[in-house]
Amino acid sequence: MNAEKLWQSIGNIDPKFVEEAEIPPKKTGRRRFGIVLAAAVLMLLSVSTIATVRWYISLNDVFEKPPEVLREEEQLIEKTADTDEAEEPISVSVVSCLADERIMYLLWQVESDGTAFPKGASAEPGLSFGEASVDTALGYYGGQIEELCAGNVIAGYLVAEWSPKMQEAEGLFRIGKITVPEEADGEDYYPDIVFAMEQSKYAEGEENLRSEWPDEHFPVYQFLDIPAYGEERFYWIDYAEYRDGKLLLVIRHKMWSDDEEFAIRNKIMINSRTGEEAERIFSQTFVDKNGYNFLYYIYEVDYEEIGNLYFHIEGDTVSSTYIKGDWEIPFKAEATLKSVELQSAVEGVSIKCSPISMAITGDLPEMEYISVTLSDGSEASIINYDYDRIIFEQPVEPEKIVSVVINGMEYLKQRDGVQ
Amino acid sequence: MEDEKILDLYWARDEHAIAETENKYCAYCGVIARNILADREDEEECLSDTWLRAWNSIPPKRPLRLSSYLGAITRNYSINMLKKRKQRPLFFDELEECIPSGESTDDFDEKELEALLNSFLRSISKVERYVFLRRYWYCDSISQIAFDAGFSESKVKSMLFRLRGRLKKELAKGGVLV
Repeated sequence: MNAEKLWQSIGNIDPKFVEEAEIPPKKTGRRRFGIVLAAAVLMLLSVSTIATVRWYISLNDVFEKPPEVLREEEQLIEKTADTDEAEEPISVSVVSCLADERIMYLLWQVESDGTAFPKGASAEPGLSFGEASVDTALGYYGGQIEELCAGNVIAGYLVAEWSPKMQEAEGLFRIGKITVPEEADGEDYYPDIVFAMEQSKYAEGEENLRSEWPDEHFPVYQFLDIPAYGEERFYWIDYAEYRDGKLLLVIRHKMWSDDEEFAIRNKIMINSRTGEEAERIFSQTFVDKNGYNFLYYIYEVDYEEIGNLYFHIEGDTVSSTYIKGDWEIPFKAEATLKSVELQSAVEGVSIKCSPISMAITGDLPEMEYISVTLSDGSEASIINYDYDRIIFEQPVEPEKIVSVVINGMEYLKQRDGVQ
Repeated sequence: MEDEKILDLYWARDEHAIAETENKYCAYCGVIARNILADREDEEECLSDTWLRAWNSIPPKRPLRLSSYLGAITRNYSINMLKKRKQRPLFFDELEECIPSGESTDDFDEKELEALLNSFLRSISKVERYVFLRRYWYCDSISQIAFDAGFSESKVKSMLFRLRGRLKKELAKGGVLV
């Protein structure tokens, strides 16, 4: 037989397969989006000089009274792109960017011109500072401000550690897509584990094989890129090895893609012969710099059963892409919020606080727990617990802080009349 | 016009069948011819041959799916034309990789080979089938497949490489050798 005969036989396959391949699979947005993006660029060029931005949120919505600002230059930047699906303009904006000596706090909003976003819609914000990127211990952290999200507006914040390099650099705020919650059915995926085991090699050679399975460290291996397909999506097996009654699988997903939602869904390994779940005795995950999410799974399973294994991904509520966009907005954070000194109840301890973060210095115990209570009895939500950078998830007014408790001990001097 | 009605015209020996076929399937078959021939004149000649062949073969045939029936004719005419030019398409080299080596045997039944291919296509996922058939049935370029599927070119190449490997295994199991 030769290639031509094989090619001719392919021409005689079941016509239903041929018909099925006439239509591209669901991922068809790219071509259309390219067109609408081009239109959006034209639109941006034509309206940018006269555009008036309706700001639905401002600092006054977050703070009961505007914070004292040493120096401020609010960045009101708009970039408009047409949407892929609704075909109506979406405005993505950096409303304001503030910083104190420790962190920056950025307010953003996404606004559709007409149609309300579906219930539960959320935008996925990102932040970059180029060479001086947010590669600090904290990275960046964001969330939506639910009370400001309504109708055709989604609003939220991002906080990031505020390194000197970042202060000098231009920031880039990004919204990759807008998602809505969706009930996802369970899905089955069939990886060719036996083939993966045959192909798998450690990149550093057999002599570097670890005597123990990975626990804290991950083995260095060659990427195999063996896809395991479900109905329409897939992931890759990058490494597979069987030893001492245990099967190690290294599975890779691309994060920040359509596969992201199902990447985080719970996967179980089923033995198709017995219908039983294979026992997973180890799992660990990390995301590399290229945005790949790696899963390390170890199963206890008989060698003869490996060919019978398949993945079942359980049904769940997942984020489904509602608008696939890629909006990027450069900004420069110039504002500097002033920290005020709160009166410490402990000698030698200093507490400085701005609306967005707090720093506590002095002779301090190893922090196990901290709570910051406000005058209305609510507790400030904290997202970073380093003494020199305690970050509030949402801004507070320092004057309204009535209690700072560390490991059960009060560190704030109680003011008269304050309960 | 619906396929059934076009087929009725063929069966009634009504020459409007050819015009209706050309009207509906010129773009579809044209893409296949263009993918293989990359020559406008040859493409047109190939399409004319396709319509004529359809006229001569329907009846007695009454294909269940007119599109793939016509596409298959175009595909065959295109490759014959390429052979006349003494050219060999790139995807032939790729398909060579699928053929297991071993003692030469040409006495395998073509129907058996088609059954093996159908079985292989059933065993792979819809996305894999899509990529495989875009390449080896529709003869699309890697970049076009990547664009239509929303994948990177390297991902398409990688998928095709693995699919060829799997097909090779299936063919070897079925006793199809060089």
